[in-house]
Amino acid sequence: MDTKIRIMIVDDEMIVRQSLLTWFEKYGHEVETAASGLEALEKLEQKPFQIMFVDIKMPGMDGLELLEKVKQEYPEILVVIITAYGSIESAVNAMRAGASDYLLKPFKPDQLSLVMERITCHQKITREYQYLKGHLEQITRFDNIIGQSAPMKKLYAVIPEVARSDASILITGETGTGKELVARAIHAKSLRAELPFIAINCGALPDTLMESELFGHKKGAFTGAAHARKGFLEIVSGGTLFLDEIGDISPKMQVDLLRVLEEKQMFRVGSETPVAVDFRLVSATRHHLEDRIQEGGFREDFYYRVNVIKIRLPALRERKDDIGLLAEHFMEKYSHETTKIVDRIRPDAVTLLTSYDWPGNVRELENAIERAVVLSRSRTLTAEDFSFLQPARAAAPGSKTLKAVQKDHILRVLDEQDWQITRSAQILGINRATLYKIIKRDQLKKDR
Amino acid sequence: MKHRIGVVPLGEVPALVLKVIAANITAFYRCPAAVLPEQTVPASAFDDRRLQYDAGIIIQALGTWAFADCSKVVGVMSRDIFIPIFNYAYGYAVQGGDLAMVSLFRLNRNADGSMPPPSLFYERAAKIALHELGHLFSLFHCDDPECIMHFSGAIIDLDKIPFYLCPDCERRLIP
Repeated sequence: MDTKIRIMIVDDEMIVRQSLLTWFEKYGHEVETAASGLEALEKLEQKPFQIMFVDIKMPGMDGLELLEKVKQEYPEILVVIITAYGSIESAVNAMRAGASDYLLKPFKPDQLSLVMERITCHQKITREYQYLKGHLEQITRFDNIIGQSAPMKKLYAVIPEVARSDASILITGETGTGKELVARAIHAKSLRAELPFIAINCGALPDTLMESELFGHKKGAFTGAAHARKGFLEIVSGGTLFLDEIGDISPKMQVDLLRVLEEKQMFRVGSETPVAVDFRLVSATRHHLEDRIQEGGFREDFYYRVNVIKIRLPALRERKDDIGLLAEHFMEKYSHETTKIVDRIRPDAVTLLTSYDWPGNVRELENAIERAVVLSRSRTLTAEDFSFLQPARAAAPGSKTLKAVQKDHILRVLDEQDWQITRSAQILGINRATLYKIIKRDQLKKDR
Repeated sequence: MKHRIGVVPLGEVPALVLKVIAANITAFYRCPAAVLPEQTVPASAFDDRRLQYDAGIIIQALGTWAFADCSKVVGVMSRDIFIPIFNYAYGYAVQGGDLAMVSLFRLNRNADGSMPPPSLFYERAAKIALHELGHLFSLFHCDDPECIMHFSGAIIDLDKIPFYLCPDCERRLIP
């Protein structure tokens, strides 16, 4: 076990800094010194420390002031106050301000040893806490899905349930809510877990390419088909096929897929020989497919085939309790990836992140954290590091009338719900007739 | 001989204790150790408020004196020494350096104020010298109380530590 401790010694007297440095080096600890409170704070911004030995009497910022700042900004650091000007009063003040211990210099070598023993013990407890926290994190996350809010807990309960069956699943949710992560989690918990998981973004492929990708083709089936090729429906053999943005596929492809789902066999493009297929279908969409059916853009029979079980993922603004947890997770991820020490997030930053709407959901939050970590000049993310978020949304209500704010809100809910009146009215807490009246009165219109 | 370790009396020091220290170093670190001629403790090392000698200043002085054929030197003195933040010290060494020192002043008294038998006094002096030399050989303080590199802040603790290194420190020893 690594018992090396990162120590900072803060004293305006060089001889004291040197003596303690030499002493701690004999234990193999990592030691740095600072001649003033300001220098100490600068070093804390750059690097994490576990314990500080701080002289109480220093020019400029004194030890007590430094102690207060450290306890405010870095409460996890243990601070031992050292002074030659000891009195019961200053000792009491230091302990009240959060000092872990108090030494009157010169002190006996074994007094310092005793302090270090206590700290090592504290460190051990901290390690145990981190270990338990790790376990807790496993409870608050499901595979790679993170969150401990009520909607996420429901989701964690649903995933193993639906994974056990072989029924088709439709995952709905706004963009960036983690639909593919949920699909992967379902696959991982299913009996098909050892077999392939293939994800296809239907919105990104033109119809002809989609057909060739899914069904494969016979040699010479079309110009350029020099060799026979298996499609994903064959390659997935026994595994899970994830069709993202299923609302974007053409009516012809819907018919073809419907046939495959019903007959459990398919034909490669240009071939008349049937090939048996076996896969579990998980689809996802950000649209309301019921509306697309009414509009004639989505086949009802295909809809009922893919939507045997429906899972709705909450938007990030519906689970704001998770924003802090997610922010910490992404901060750790990008700190590791960029090899920059960014390991703290100030409460003002969390407040800002929580007040933001996150139209791009978790993906947008992840991008925001990545950007903040890359550009941060210290190890602490502050509200300032997220100033780029503010112009987009947070300023909205300031200069608007109540009526204008109400209109914007209703319009936004309608857009989010793809103008599905019943659902929008439920979210707004009004009845359908009232919503129709407002739409008519305020001449609200769909964007496209 | 390149790896000889010098044992230097700083001021008046009983000859026998110097010989005991040198013999223990030779046996323990498997390096020949020799007692060198006496050196005078610099007056500047004396702190007239604390009535003790500053170990750091003495180590600096040791560095200015030439000790031919010695790769490492241990100064031994009878007077009381201190390191600025501490009340006292039994010994002092620069981690991974070439110079160390031992003070015999507090070794000749038991915790209850009584005098120890001479054999215990020599044993204590040898333990401090071997411990400080361990630092010169880049060994750190050890958590294992069954190791000579375990820190002893009081005489009662010094008497408890053994005359050997724990297996971990033995492995780390780079003479």
